[in-house]
Amino acid sequence: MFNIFKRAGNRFFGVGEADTSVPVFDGALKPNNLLDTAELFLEQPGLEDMVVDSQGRLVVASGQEIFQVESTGITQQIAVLPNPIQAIATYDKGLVVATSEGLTFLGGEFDGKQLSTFDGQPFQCITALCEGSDGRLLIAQGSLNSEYENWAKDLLNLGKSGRLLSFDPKSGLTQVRAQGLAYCYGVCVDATRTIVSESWAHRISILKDQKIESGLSHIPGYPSRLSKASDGGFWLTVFAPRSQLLEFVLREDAFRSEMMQTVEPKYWISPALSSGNDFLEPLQQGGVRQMGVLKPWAPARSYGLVLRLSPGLVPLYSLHSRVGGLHHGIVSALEFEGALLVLSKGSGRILRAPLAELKP
Amino acid sequence: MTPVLALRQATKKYGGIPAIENVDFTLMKGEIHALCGENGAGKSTITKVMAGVVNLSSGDMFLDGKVVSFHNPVQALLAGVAMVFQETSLVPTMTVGQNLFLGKEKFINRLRAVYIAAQQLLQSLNFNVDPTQMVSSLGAAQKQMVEIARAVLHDARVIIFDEPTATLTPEEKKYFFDLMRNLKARGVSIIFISHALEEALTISDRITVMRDGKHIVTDETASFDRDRIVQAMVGRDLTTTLYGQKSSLRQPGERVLSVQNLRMGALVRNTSFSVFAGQITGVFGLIGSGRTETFKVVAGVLKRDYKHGGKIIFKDKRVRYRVPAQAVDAGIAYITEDRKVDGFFETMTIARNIYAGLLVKLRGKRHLIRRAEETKEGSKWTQKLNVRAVSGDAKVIELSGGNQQKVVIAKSLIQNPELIIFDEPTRGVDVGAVAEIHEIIRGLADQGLAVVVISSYLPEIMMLSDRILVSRQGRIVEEFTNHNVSEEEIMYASIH
Repeated sequence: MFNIFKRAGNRFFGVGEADTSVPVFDGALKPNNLLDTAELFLEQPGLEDMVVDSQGRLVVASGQEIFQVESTGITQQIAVLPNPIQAIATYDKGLVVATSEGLTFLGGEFDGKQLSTFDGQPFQCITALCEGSDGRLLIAQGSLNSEYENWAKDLLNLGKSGRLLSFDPKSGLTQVRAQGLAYCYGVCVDATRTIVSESWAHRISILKDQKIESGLSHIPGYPSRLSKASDGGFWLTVFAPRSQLLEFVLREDAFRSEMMQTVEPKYWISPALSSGNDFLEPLQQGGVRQMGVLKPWAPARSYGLVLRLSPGLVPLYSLHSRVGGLHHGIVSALEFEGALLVLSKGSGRILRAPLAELKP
Repeated sequence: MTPVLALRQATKKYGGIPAIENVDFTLMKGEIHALCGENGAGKSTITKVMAGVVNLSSGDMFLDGKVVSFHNPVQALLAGVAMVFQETSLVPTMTVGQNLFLGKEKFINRLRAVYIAAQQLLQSLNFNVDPTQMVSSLGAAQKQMVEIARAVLHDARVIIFDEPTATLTPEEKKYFFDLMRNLKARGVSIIFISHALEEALTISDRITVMRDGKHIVTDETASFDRDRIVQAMVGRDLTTTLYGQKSSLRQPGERVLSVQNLRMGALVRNTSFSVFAGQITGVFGLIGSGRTETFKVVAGVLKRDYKHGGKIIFKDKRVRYRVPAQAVDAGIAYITEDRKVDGFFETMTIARNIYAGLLVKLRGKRHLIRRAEETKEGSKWTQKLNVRAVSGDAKVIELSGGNQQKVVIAKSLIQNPELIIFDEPTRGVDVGAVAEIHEIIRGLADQGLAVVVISSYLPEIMMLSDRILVSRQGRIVEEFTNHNVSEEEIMYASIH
């Protein structure tokens, strides 16, 4: 009963759950143009994920295909799968690939093994894979209610059905390590911890003994995948920025519901992997002239951001592609041959930035 | 052509320290003359001398070529020099007409006659203000109009405006500039002080830039651009002997404070920023830019707007303190810019003042004062911060400015804060203590505390800070990492 009044009060005053304020990009997250000035390593439509395999080669998943990419940028096809690939990881000297049909093992001891259901449900919306410190495969599942490509729908439905599973291919045993996650998009391990990113909660969390602890919260964007940095710490990619407009939409249930029913998904007011490509996109044409300079007014839907985190998960520095930049929708970053490779799903490009030049 | 008003070798000293020194200044008839400079450059002092608020220590002032000296503002007004202050001097509970004729009333004063005369005056100036309206019900621009009309009524030939546009909306500003042009056309000379360089460049005929109490340059407005003014305003030698060498930059630790879309009336407008542990975050901005108010909201001294007032997150917890003691409890210390009013109890001893800080932290848990603990803590912090006093029982009022400031710092440090906000930490502090206070601030950051330093003095910000936030018109507008930023860039951000 009191909750009704509290909610009404919060909505009137714009506080509590009705508060639309968002954190700002400052400190280690101060914007720069490092992603837009980085060297173009590979350009290919449909890029999704990448990994360095057990032999130190770069393997890239794009559409239904898996490529091996030389340091010169030359590609060689390794495999073609029947469905678009969602995530890829190394496992036991081979690869494991996630598609809308579940998991497929390529190479290694478990070559050809497949996993398509868990608990009687089809394996959908797998977002990231990682070999755990105990040898099991960790599977990040973004949502139980939306498909991988319909992630925006899960956000607008305020989805909290993500989970982290562990799978032992030897015994075939699958366990739930964490559930109720707000779109689990990334997973990474170090010697003692399992770290997951929750996109819709704008945070990364630490899993310890079945308990979830806060790692880094109030990220000013939607975090995606994580990878380990060679000198300790992690790389975290952020695929879209938060904005007050979107926070407002997320609190307006009736508006959101009508928008989802009546408007084409690509024109929804939601984060995007790239924007500015279509004049029908919401609010992309806004501008205001200040002191003779035309400045964009419209809230940004897409952005490019990679964070370098310390072992204690404190941001140390960051790489950006700003609102007017090209390389938005960053979903994967990893170290390869002394450089950081960044996968921009929004632009269909992999960028290369030498590590030595990145440290502030 | 003889200037209407001129200063020659004008010097004004306060307690032996010159606020302006050997300043030459001329104001021609029918001229709008803009006066630019940082806070503390001497702009206000020079105008106060002209308006008879203060007298020169040495040098001369000329009105129409004759040496004059005004001992009070009434003398200046009678001679035709009027000053319009930022805070208007109108009586809010009287009507516009009554305010206009205040001090000029006839022996038998008829209100109707006052209103008719006021109406005629306001119409002649093309001011759309009702003379029967109560001043308290007027907007900022209308109040300015009444002030101007009053100056004209007193046959002012020189009108001095101190930051007249600070409280005006853009529309009101445009109207105000038209008024200034109107006055100029009537042959009135105008001195115009503004931090908004754009306004000075738009409205004035000549610009004078002052810095550290000295006249730097006077030239036709056409020969200035923003960059030239900014350079003249900040182009001082960096006083490295006083402010020490810039230390190497500290890397940011965890985000201790996150302020998101904070609002408080017209003073804090949708501002967002973060403060990190193990770093000194410098906050620079001109007076009135909302820096102090923003951090007073953080420390619970002021309250943010309740409706859509934004969010403050301290150590990952959303907070809104009703009283400063709650902020102290949580680990936030705010060291005031006005120590004499808010910083200490002047007739109490050093130890007692420091102990008072601890009592705030222990409120509700400690009901009796322990004198032994008071003496012990007092002596510990006095030694730690090197507070120099004649005796341990000395009252704070007897200390020098620097030592008073150290007591105020000790009073906050005893609370064991995690975020410590210094507002103008070296204002009114003797030169020797500046370096010591800076050392204390650096030491706190080296210990891993999140430190914020708010200062109007750029060299201090440059020397102390690891990162610099610039405040303008109630919001943080720019962030710099302090390794390759110049004073000009910071000043530019604070103005544009």
